[in-house]
Amino acid sequence: MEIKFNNLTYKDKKKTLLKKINIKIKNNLITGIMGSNSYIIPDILTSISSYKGEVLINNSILEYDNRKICYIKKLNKDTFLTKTVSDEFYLKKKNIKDNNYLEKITSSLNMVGLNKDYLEKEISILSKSEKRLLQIALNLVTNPELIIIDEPYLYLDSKAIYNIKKIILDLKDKYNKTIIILSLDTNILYELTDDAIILKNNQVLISGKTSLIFKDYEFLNTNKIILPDIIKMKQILLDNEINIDFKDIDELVKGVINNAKEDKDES
Amino acid sequence: MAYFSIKNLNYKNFENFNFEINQGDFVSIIAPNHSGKTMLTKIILGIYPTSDICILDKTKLNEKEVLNYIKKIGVATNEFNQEFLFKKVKDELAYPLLNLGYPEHKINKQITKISKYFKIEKILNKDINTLNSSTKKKLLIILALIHDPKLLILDSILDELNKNDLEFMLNKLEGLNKQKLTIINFTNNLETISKSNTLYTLDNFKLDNIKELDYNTLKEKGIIIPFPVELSMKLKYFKKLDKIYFNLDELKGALWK
Repeated sequence: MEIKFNNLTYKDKKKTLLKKINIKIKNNLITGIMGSNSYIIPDILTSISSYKGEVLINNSILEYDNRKICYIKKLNKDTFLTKTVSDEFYLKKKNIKDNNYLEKITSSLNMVGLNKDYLEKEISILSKSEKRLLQIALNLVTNPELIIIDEPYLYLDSKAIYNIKKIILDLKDKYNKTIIILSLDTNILYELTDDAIILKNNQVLISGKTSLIFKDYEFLNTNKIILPDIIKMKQILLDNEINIDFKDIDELVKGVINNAKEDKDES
Repeated sequence: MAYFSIKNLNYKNFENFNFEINQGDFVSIIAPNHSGKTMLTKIILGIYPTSDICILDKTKLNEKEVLNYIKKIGVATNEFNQEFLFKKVKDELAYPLLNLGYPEHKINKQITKISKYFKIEKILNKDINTLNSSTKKKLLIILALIHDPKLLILDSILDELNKNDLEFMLNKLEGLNKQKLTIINFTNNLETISKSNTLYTLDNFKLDNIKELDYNTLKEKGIIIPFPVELSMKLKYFKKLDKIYFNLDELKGALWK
């Protein structure tokens, strides 16, 4: 699913929240959005219609269809409306014409690392991490084309984060989904997204390939955008004229140790 | 005598559970999911009934002393069903003080003092709904402190602040901690423990005092280990560092002096 915002402006009670936004969210990629009022973008795609400008989905004017677009918000008191996991899935069924619904439920649960046994559980006894995983499974059962996730790692422990990371990448690579991630954490954007859009003062500050955006230390520092840890570390090495090429933490550790050895040998 | 203690707690899954801290401690309890954290918080707050088990500043949590006990505690939780009662930040801050019977001039004085300390003067008249989620969580912590409690309990709420807010709040909490505020921080993210002087893990309803952070154990429990901490843990193992660093600037200083 390809999405284009052409010259989009959105005002709320006379205050401009988004101004002349021109962005493109590419089909079958993961796009990260961060910055002021970025939360309005998914609202426009799922519910708000009082904007100026144009929103195109696959080159056609946006029409609301909650089977095609799902928006996984932060957990709130309205996230779950029923008592048990099973009831919650069957509440969704009205949107789906399918005889193999139970199979779909099981596959959604399995995808997020939960299993069929959860169906009989009461939602109130689940941990926050399990509630978040359930929320994601509930959204995947309708097989949407566009998946929007607000802060994908929020409430999760490190094991669940590992699972979610894999699920998001699988949704893109194996199931050809288009994904939008909203996050204030540049580590998440750097790690997960292909493209990034950074908003500032209600306008687009920069958009493009994530890897290129996060290469420009000076631009990011000038605009007070926190560097992803791995990028900050590269900048520190550069500033200290230390040459260590690394892709992950283990390569960095190896590089630091070898670098210290070289210094010792030289002296 | 300990400033806050839980003695011989036997309640549901807690068996012979004991916990003691001194005044002015900043304790972080690293607690994975299903560890008993929520139940323990509710026991400390008297939501689950116990009698004479919890003692804070010589006041026992029992039917007779519960009001005096509870006034000494401030709690900020990340429970997502916790709602703000009012639209305006200032009204929200005033309400707990009104409930405690503060006169109007004292309420205003208290709000001025706390908003100056936490630099929230500019948002006092703002609609809470327009604040971003990290600022809302920050506000919940400030609300927990509005009545000058002796003990602050943070129930995984620091885990949900963005990096800038976390750094700011940890510095501010450290300042209050130096003025003898005792803090218990339940967390699942090691980024929040940098100002703590005492560390525990809570797992399967059992508490362990930890002197050293062990990478494998924490990973096994599902604890989130931020990049600078993971990097310094690994470099410490190879004797390149002598302690754990919580931010890259400090770590840089230790590695390349």
